[in-house]
Amino acid sequence: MRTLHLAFKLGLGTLRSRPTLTILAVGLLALGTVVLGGLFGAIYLLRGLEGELMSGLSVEIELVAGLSEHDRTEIITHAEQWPGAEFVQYVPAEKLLDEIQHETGEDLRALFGSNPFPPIIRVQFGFADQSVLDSLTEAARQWEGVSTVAYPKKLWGEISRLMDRLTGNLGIAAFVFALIAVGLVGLCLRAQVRNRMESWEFLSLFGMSQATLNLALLSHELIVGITGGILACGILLLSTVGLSWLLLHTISFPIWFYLSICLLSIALSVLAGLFSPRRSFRF
Amino acid sequence: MIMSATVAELNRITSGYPNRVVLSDLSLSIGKGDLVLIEGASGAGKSTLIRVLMAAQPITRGQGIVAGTMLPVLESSSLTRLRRSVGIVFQAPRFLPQESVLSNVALPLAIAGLPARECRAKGTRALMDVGLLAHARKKPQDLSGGEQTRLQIARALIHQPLLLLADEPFAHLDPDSAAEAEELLCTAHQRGMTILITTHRETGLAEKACRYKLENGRLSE
Repeated sequence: MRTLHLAFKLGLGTLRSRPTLTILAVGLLALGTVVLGGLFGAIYLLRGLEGELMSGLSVEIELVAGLSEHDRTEIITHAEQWPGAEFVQYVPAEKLLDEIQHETGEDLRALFGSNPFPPIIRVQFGFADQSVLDSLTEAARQWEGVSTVAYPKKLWGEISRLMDRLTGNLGIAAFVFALIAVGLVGLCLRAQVRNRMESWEFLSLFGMSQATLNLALLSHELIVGITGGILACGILLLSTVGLSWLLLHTISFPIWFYLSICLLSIALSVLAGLFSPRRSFRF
Repeated sequence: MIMSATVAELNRITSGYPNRVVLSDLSLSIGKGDLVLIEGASGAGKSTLIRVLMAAQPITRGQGIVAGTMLPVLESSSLTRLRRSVGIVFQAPRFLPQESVLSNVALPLAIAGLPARECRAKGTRALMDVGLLAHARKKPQDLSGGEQTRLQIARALIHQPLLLLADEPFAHLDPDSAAEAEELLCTAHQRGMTILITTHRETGLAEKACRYKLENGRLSE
């Protein structure tokens, strides 16, 4: 316990010995974490947006004319049990005609002489990828009483591709920023440790074990990481409040997002310590 | 002087810095209870020898054994064991400036993981032995040069090491303070402590000690 106490004091003393470097390390870490958090937040928001867009799209199962209620119920049951299916709705031919006439603003019955649309079953998904939709389409075509199955495959594919590309680019940017943050924070931590190298060597000469010295380094990194994490959360919180006010639309992240930001900051700090001061740290 | 066992032995050691060999083919044997005095001019390699004995300076050739640990030290645990078996008095006093005199004197015990109460008790006794108990709550930098050396000696002895290494302990002291420090080291030697002292000037301990001269990286009697 005494040894741990000494290790913690050594870590804290190293931080206090060069306050400017400490502020720089914490600031860089917070900034790096904010950028990373912003990128991850953007990915999170994009995925949410994708889910919202997807739930707006639906698979439409067209039924043959004169289908019995029993057969229709069976198709509805099949559709409801499909993975990811959130909402299944039977739309009679008359209602579908009304919907389309309302959307187009044209009198289609007069144009075609009769109602040209069949009754349909509309399946909406909470969250699904294209393979789920394709599998439903394939299967539904085999069901009795189904004439055709359609969904806006091309649009859906475009949305998915766009989201994947954005997520991928943001992920790469996040990785590059993480590397830069780790490099710069590592340099700051190393400069601090070098500044107090005499104290570290002094304690080592009195028999402080390498494990305890590593603990002292870890405490040094943890203090920087936690402080940087808290600062980053504060900046992100303020940014979301500011953006919400500017865009007149509430942007918020769940609590686990802020906890992840703190953990990310600690992880970056420890990683920076592993790559920088520890490499030349042997007495 | 009776040599019952060897506490430290260096066998044809070579050590130095990238562009300079400081110790060359140096051999030394220190028996239990010995008082060894290494004399040499500034830059002769006395501090390097101390650092070699503490395994703080790499050796490029030769081998040795200090307090039961082989040199060069290959394992971190052996290094820790060696350093906990040795006491050190630095040429320029080194302390933890933010800690009290009492905490500094008990530092080797704290590092070894002894409970705080025991550290305090032993630290108090050690300060009493060197006449610094009245300064227990002060910071080490508030002490005079002579007091700092006495504090260093007390710190080096508190954990009853197998070997005490003193690197120019009298270098910056006035004659009275040097005499006090010599007296403390002499008392420790009389109690059976094995001591190696490096110095570049005459000392009153010379008569009682095995004297060596360090010149050109080698020892001669």
